[in-house]
Amino acid sequence: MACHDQDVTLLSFWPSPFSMRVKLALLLKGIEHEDLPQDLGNKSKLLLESNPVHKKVPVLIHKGKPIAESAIIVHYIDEVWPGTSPLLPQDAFLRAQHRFWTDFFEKKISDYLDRFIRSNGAAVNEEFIQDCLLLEGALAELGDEEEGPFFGGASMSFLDVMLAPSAVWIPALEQVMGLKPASQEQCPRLHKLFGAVTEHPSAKVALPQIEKLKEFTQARLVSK
Amino acid sequence: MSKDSVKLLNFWPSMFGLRVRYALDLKGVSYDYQEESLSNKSKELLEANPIYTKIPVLIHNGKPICESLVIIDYIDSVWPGSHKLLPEDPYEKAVARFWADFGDRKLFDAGSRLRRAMGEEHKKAGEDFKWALMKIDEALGTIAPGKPFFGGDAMNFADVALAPFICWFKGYQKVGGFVLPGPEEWPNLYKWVDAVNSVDAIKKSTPSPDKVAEFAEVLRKRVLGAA
Repeated sequence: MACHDQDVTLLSFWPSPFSMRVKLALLLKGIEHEDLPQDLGNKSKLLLESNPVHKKVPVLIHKGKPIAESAIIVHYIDEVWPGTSPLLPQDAFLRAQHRFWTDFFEKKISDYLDRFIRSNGAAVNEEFIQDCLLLEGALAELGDEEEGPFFGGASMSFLDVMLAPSAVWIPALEQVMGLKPASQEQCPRLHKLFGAVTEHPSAKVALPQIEKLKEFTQARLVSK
Repeated sequence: MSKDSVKLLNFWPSMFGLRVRYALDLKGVSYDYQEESLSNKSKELLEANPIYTKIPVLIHNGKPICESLVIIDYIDSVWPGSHKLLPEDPYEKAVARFWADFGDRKLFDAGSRLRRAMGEEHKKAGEDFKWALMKIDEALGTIAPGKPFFGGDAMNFADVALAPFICWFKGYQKVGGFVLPGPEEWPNLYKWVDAVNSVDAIKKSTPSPDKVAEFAEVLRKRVLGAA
């Protein structure tokens, strides 16, 4: 059932994994919204006014009020539209686990991928595989293989939404820049999770195609 | 009703540990306190936080929770009755979370570089640190005009996340080799500092700024010595 709510605008940038997270949350909950792609090389007045502190995307503008930082935005979306596709668990300890692993992902994996890209694939991080293995362990502990491939079991939960963009970014970096992620043997559950993400109807719309990301990555390499 | 077991593993100068102490004390939650030596971490710490082996860790009824903002979010959920930290309104909640996150992303990051960096990078860290405090001053004026805290009349999630930096101001200035602008430039910030410092729950666990400054200088000397 689509929730029609006026005045929901997303300031987006299609390759940004942070932007993808918010798009995915909106689609999972069927929230109608206006998507305004941003030119990050020539930032709009709206973006600068909506996020004056960081001047970054994504920004969600709801009834004229801006919210920035993807994890904070997804929290907000889950609180304002709790009925459909609830993302954060009810249990306080489990919620803490989702937040902890989101923070872990950003500090360790997201940070490494960022350095990898900036260094044109030179950044070596022996810990990268180790970090993927830790995430695999988290999925074994928090997920339910019988229920489904996600941290949320059969349906996507908060942590799945936070990780989902990697389902397209990691293959793109692998194929264009030689990134060496953990293998299916090393991280079978994570591989299954990312496979399920790419098949998910909302994710298919929220996440760009891997080929498009590859072109984008290739173009940036050439322009350096 | 069985009593909750609440234990905090901490290291006294840690800003992150102080966030947790502030949250627990504001809510009047009693807890066991264990001081950790970072050069000789207890088995309990290593088992409670195997991923980072860092403090603070809150152990509630045997279950460990790590990362200070995750911990205070958890504390607010488990003990909602007393001194609610996150506002009920989703937008106000998002604003409080944003400024708590800003504390880590910008203020702590700059402070960290002040301790570790050299030369031009060190100078930039000082500029970034001051910029972050200026932004906090502006935010206080916009979010809660005429009120002492981000939370209005009482400390909220953002106040608790940012307050621990106050006892580190002296240390950062020493290590950074600068003097922070005063109340004429940052009126909201200094009113906030005074208001925070007058809260009993805050006074309870805040370490002395002189001791923190000594500690900061020790850390800086190590970096300079290694250079």
